[in-house]
Amino acid sequence: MADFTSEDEIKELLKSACQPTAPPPELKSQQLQDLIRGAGSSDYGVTLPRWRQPKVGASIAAAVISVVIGYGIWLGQAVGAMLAP
Amino acid sequence: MAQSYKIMALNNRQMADSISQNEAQLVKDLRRRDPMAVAELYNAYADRIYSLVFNQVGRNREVAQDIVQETFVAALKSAAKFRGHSKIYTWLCSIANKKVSDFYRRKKRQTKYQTTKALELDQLGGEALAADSGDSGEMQEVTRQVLFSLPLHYRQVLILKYVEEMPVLEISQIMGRSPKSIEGLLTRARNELRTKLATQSEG
Repeated sequence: MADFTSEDEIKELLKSACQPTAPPPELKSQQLQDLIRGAGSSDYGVTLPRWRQPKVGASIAAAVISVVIGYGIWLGQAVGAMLAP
Repeated sequence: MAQSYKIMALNNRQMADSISQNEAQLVKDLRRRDPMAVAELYNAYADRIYSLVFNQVGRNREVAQDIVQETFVAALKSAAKFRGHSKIYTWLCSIANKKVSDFYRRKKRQTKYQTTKALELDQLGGEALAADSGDSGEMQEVTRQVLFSLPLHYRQVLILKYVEEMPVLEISQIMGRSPKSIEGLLTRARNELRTKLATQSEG
């Protein structure tokens, strides 16, 4: 038995041991039908990016609004202090 | 909608890493859940994904079939998140790899009272390998047994590199690691494979 020192030997060995295999045709057609049916219904709900998910989006919006309000209050006080005699 | 996407990714591995226009159109249609696009995706990639998964799970047909189904369902669900930074096949491989890892994680949870050795050559894979040995050469069979006895991430990286003939960069996208980390992983996996094959040949 070879000692498999070269990459080519390993490649040849693995390629021979892991030859391409196709699933049975009847299974493929069944899986495809299931996929098309699932895609057409609401079974496969769309997974939105995290920042677009309602909970995360609402949290981000609340944080932004808080910062804007806080900045407004600070600005009001700062301007008031500047204008005070 | 009679539209042909002419997916070039199937046999052309020399294609650029970024997504082609045809693939971009296919992804766009998948986001709309167009049945033609779903069929196009499945018909173009199901065989290759099945083959990849089949070899990772110790040539167990039933497990491979379930994981392929889960892979395509997950791909449809996450098509909106796919940005096209890799080829569709690379994207599907990364989903399939995660599903295989999930399968073994679930199995580990179910069998955590069993010994580690039993987990390594678990019943499903072991039986499938034994059943598959009838029509294949002895060396092929020994290689399969040794490959299946390796840790999953070694098995995955070896299959992607030498069976799928993917470049390190593409493997790094699939496995979510840096190219340098993949090179290190490949070296360790090759050494482990060589050692185990040598032990088998001595024994």
